[in-house]
Amino acid sequence: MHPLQISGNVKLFAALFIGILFGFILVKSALSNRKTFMDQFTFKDNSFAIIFFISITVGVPVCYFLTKYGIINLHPSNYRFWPIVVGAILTGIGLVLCGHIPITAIASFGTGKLYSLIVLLGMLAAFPVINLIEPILNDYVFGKPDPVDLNVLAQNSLFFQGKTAMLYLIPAICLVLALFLRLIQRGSGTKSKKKEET
Amino acid sequence: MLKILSSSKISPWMSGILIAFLFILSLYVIDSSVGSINAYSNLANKAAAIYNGNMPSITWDEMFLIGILIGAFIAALAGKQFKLQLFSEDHLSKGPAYYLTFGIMLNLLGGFLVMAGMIIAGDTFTKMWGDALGLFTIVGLFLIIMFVEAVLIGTMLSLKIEEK
Repeated sequence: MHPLQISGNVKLFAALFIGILFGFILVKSALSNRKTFMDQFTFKDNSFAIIFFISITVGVPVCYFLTKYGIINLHPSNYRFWPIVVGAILTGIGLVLCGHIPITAIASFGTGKLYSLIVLLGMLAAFPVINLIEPILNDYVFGKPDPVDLNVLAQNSLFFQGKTAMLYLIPAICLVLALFLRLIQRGSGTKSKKKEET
Repeated sequence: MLKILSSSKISPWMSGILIAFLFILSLYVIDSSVGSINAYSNLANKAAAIYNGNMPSITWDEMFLIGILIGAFIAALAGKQFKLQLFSEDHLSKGPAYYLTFGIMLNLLGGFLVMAGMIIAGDTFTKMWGDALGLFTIVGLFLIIMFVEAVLIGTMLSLKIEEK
């Protein structure tokens, strides 16, 4: 078996349909709310981390077996060490300020939160600015040699290195972390749930 | 199904499972990871083209972003959560002097920094989330740095607010 080989209008429609499902789940899981991200960083509401960890717990084994039998192919981007470090630092600061990643900003705008449009405009403005400062980035970030060749790992991933222990260990760790975060979440008892419902 | 449609929120456990399967579904149906940086880059370029009076063609990854907008709109209407809001509630609580000036600047700067970071890193958070299902180690590095830093800054800011 192999991935569906669709193109043209069928591919456009398929992408639209998957986008609609994504947008729907982002709103229903409250990830489109700015508050969900803000509360995550102060551990008031661990929904975001639980969603992330559970997706890894479920997705990694399924993804592994589907990749092994050729049903899906993974398409990793060309990540490098120093750009990842600098990028993560900038993204972390930005996330605390605006409380959105690109898809949640779009979903938030779809629910009528017009201020998300300003966040989106800021995001789109980053492209010409990064293009302008590219020579500086080339000198100080992109041109810097990697301390370890992480890209080799990125191309192969733990899937293809025969490290099958990781295949079960990492999802298990993610599940334990999700359960722990649920446990420490303030007001996670049934009483507070009933209070919320009323 | 109807219950999910009309409910205002689904549990994080169910959401995590659904998101994982959506990433896998996109890899099977489209044979590509969704939400990549190219879609946003193309949007920025095409916005300029539309401004100049040209009508560019649309690609599948831009269609995915339009789908998110439509899906969010449907979910908000179905759950009776659709509400036009000019300013976020946490900014509104700080008064007009804040939300009319500082709040707008923070949203703009925050959005700029998020995307600038992702452009430098190599791709968007969504794409990295999808790649994380393939256990790519370098994606884990990005997520750990970003999360730890955001928690540190978030905690410092909340402590400062509590002191006030």
